[in-house]
Amino acid sequence: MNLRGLPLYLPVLLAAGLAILPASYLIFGSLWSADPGLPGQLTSQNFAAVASDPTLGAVLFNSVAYSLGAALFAAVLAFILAIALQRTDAPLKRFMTSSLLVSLAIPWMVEDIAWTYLLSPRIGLYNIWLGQLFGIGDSLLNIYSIWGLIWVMGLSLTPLAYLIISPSLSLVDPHLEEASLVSGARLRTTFFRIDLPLSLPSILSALLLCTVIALEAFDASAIIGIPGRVWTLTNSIYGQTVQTPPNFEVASAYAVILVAMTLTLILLYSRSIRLSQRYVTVSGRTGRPRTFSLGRYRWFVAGGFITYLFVYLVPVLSVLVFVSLHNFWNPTDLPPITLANYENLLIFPSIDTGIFNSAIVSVTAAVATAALAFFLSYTSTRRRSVIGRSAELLASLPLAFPTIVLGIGLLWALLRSPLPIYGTVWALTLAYTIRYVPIVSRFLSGPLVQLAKELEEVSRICGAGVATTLRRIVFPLLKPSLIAGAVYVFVVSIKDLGAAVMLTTGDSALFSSALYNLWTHGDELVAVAGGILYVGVLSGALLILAIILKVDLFSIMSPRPCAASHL
Amino acid sequence: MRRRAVGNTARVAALVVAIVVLAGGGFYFFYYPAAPSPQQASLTVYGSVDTQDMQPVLKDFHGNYSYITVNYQEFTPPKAFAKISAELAARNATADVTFITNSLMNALKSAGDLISYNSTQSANYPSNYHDPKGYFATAILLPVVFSYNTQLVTSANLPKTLNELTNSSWRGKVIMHDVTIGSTGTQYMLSLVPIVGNATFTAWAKALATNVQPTLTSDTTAIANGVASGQYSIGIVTYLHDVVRLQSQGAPIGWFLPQGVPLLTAPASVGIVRGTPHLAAAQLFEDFILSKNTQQVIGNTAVRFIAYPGLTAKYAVSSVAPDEMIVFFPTAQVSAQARTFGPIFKSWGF
Repeated sequence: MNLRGLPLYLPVLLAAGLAILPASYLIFGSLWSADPGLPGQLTSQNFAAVASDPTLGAVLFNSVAYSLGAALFAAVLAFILAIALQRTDAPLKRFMTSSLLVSLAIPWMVEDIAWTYLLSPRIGLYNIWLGQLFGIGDSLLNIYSIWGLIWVMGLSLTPLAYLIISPSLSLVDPHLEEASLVSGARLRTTFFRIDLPLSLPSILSALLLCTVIALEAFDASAIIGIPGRVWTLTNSIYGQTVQTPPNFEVASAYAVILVAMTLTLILLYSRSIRLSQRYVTVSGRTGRPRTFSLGRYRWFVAGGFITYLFVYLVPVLSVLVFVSLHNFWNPTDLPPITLANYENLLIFPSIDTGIFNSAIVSVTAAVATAALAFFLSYTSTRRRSVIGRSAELLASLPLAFPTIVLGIGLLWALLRSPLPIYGTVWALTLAYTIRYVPIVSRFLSGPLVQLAKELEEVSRICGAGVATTLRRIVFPLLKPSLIAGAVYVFVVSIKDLGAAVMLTTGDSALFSSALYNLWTHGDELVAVAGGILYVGVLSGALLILAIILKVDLFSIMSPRPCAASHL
Repeated sequence: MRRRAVGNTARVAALVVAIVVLAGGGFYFFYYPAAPSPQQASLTVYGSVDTQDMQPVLKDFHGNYSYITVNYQEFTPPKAFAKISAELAARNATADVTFITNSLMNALKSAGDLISYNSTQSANYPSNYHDPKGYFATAILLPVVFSYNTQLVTSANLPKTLNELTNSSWRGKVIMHDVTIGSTGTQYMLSLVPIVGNATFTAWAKALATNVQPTLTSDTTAIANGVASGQYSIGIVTYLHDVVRLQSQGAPIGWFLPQGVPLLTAPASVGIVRGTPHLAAAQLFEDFILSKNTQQVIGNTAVRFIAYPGLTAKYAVSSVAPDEMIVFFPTAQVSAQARTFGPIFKSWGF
């Protein structure tokens, strides 16, 4: 190994080391007869309990079908949106990108609840309206099905998939397209022969990541899957953690199956980028990619944007606002409008502390995650050493953890750690950093693969060291993706509650855990009011971040590279 | 170009400095809080009762004992249990007092995680309202009923018996607590076994799963909300306090008990956690919660059913369900069986 590059590996090894902490507790927990730390013995009983589950076959089938379906849905929709927003002259692009940013800010739990108000049999507003319009009963659409899960999760994942795919489209070398067009190829041929293949690494990244996230997300699986009897790995794990007393041992055994499935996906992904040089598009001769003129189809595409908004964002936010203005929900016999839910929310004790703590945790986690993820991606794409690849694989382990299991693993690790951060907000910062490093590294790996090594080689030939090359060449080119990754961590960590549920205490309560408490204790509509406040606070926080970082909010969702020739 | 790079570097440096200052300040703020004066004590309580519902009680407590600050942290019972067990096993700071359902209190007691304390107030309660050795004492009751939507179900077609609930006309219209996870739903169902008999119960439960296919939820409050919304006609394993809360808001929801089914009630108790450094304050808190005055406050300010016998309050079981006999559940045997019965219920089609 080149010793000059040794400092590059230190953060990578740190990321891998942090990931091993909860992973070791997870594996140990799955083979232990009691909760980790409590008296017990090594056993295979936990796996035997999983194997004897009569619904195990359905659980595995549903998990794979739902997560793949949702990921495919999200990747396809995000790719279409990315082309329209990045490469065409369609109107309303800024409006649409800001809408995607807002949709990223809606907590999944709240979004899932919104869909139940829209698509539940009998009381779903869409079902009632369709029934009244066509006289076809009130249960035409049923959210409580595998299709409902795919629909909800696919839409929830679309902004994330867009964040991953769009930089690759804006990094396409325009010379390749020009060469194709000059050679007589039509626009469609150029798209299928040039743009689509060049975007494949990012599309695969998005597909992999969305599959993994859908596989391990429990919000939709609990809110939609359990009532619909769509058993998945996550609601099976969740089922074990809500037992009396919680059965973390069998939950860990289920989680190990998830880890195995996820690791398989990650290994497949690693194989798929081995031929990465095929996708290099930003070289020393790169300029800005061209914008395709849609001509008379401009407003047709804009109509597509509006349709997307009116099928997804507008009804979800509207129904949440509408529902939050009632004491209880019964669409056929609505109670009077009231602000009681908002009043109850504001007097809820941990809301103000939660907002303050959430801001600290999310900002610090976003910065730490972006830094570690950069080094992880860089070493895995540029320094293909055994250490780098092993560290990448280990650091990817938390991808497979349901956040509640990650929380349990970290709880135990921190309780026994000499680092005195248990019970403070820094425990949560650590949890989210571990959790999101592998995700953000996938934000960066696509664009990194597209950066030609020649740029760095030229820098070194000119006498610059590794640090100077990173600072002057790599960082500026990756700035859009780094900001996108950091913003993503900020947004998702501020609304994530899986780890928060296990790691928060009174002093370190987060906004999400305060809302979760409201939800689990029956104040469903107060929690919905909190969700609305959440979106507002988060949008405000993003605005403040944009001012501090001096970046255009829209550029976060529409990243464009600095042309190499401008360096 | 160079000026721009310098500007960028300055911005990044300013951001890093801001983050470091923020992080350092935050660490100091959270990890080195101002030390309390020697006369003051800070009491940590892990409870499953809503924070809002606890506010009047905590306010009163602070009014009486201004030198004790109560840090009430709300968790679902399984999470409160898991946190206390984990923190004690790791010899870390944990709750001084816990306030959760008895099934988990029993588990904490079995693990040796509770301290025995015979509150002076316990004498005012029946003997089955507190642990015989004083490890916990019941302060709140959680009666469980069957709920129905008053717009969708008339008193004429309301099921009178458990068997009438298995009629296939209810298919898709019934919601119940998830009986496959060994929690409240499973414990409630198993508590019916000695009441109706094993064979009758098995036949009934299998018929319910096959004919009606109830929708399962792991959230008890979702049952009442689902019935009130009109999505479901009948709710099984509904907390009475959820029904009363929705009724007070004008929701079309009522409650009933099929013939032969008593008012099964889960007690929620207060207990002192092993190793508390604030034993005197913890004992004072337990006495306070069990006192007549505090029970009166609880019974009149929130939809929580008080445990204090014979006390007239808006939310006493005797006021809301005067004709029903309270039977505590789950028994220690049912608690022990619940986890193993989850998969059995699953195999029956739930």
